[in-house]
Amino acid sequence: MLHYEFMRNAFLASGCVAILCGFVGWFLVLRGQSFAGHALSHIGFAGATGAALIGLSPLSGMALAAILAGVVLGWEPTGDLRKDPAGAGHRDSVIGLVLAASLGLGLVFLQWQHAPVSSATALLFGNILGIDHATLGMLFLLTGLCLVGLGALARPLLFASLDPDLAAARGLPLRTMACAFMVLVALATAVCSETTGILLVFSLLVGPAATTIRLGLAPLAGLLGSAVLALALAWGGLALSWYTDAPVSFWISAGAALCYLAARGYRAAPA
Amino acid sequence: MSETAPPRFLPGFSPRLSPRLSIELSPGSPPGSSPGTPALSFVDVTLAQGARILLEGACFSLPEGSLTVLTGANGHGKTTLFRTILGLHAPRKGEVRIFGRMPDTMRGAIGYLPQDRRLPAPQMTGRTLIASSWNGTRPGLPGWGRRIRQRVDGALSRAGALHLADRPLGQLSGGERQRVFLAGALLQSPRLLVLDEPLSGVDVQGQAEIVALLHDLCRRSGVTILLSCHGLDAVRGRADYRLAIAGQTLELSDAAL
Repeated sequence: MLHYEFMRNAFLASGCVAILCGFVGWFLVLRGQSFAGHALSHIGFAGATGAALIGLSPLSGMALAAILAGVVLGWEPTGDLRKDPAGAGHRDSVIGLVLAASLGLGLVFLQWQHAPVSSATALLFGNILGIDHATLGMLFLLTGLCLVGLGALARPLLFASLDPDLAAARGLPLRTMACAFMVLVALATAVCSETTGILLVFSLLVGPAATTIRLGLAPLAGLLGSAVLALALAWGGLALSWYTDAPVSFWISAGAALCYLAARGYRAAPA
Repeated sequence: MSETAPPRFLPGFSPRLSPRLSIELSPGSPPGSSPGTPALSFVDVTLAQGARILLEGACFSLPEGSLTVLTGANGHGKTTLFRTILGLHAPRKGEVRIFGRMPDTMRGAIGYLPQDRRLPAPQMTGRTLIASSWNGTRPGLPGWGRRIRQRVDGALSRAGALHLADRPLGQLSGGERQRVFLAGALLQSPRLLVLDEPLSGVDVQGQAEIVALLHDLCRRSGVTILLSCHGLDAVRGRADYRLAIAGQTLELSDAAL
């Protein structure tokens, strides 16, 4: 299957996307912000269709919209939920409404540009086999930027995620950290949407990370395990899709769900 | 009164103290501070939260190697006072000095144990929690390797929590968790330990063990400790001084009185 250029592009694109999602997703799950990450991809949908409407590439529109939303979500005070138990529910409601509104907006943009249904399908469910050289270059660039950013942010982010009160007492600016991280998540969701589509971003961003965290791995092992598992899911999904003709996104999302279930079963089993 | 170095008081301040107390310089001052520099000093400090004045004209200094207990009712400014020591809350008036320097430049010399802290990832072990705080405010990748492991093990050992290090935090009792948190506060070998209600949620036996451990740290390592708690019962015979917040005043006295 590697004789075909589109398959080689697909393996390269899904490989870099998977590694990025594995790393970023681990922090996302650890911080309990999976839903916010999911919303960013939907906001990216409105950005992608809006960008296409004015003649820009969907990926750049998706990244810009998601970054703006990421800054807003990061700036939103996370606060101490012990003092405001209803706060988490309110925040989820707001995220859910913004998510739905973004999907609706994206639908209108699609209709205004008289785009074929296949365009919407490609955005929503991914089109990894249609990656061209220009998109591949953009994916490498964005992935590189994100990995450098995460490399600089990783230590204070881990500290702030595990022990926010002590981190604040040591003078770590928690809100700035949250904003910077959500920008990274926004970029990762935009990049990931190219592979799995907007609706299935969860499978690479959250599935592997949730599995390694469920296994109780220490941070470094968890981060590496999450990236390796995401890579295995992405490449395994591509290979299975080649041999079975089922969509890549299906195999990736099914694999992620099975891995998480297996991790839960393993942890629940008596020693 | 215990055998530790007694407090030094600033000129013009005459606290009510036992006549046995006299000025004595303590050894082992940190680099950059002159010998005998108080570990902590407040000079005419006024603290406020918005329009509400919590403390007015507070003056005291604590020598290095002393164990002081801060008492006061809820909402009277104990945590604000700690935040001021950490350089996170600016006094409305007056000066705070840690080993003679501004608090925000001395965070590396202070070990802090927050009151009732959040644990967003209770599935993580105490060892992971403590290791994550190692140089945790600096950019870069999380630290790992033998050196950090040795430092973490050393801190856990000093806090008597080595046997708890590899259990998920969510499975530890309140007292066990406080020991692990205390190890975290000791990780960067602080000269000043600021502990906000370290005995809350801990049974009587656990309280006695933690106070004995703190007392031992003071005496053996010369660490200055300021801890808040609601009463003196748990620290009786171990604390050197008592800082009491009452109304808007702060009064330092011999803990044995």
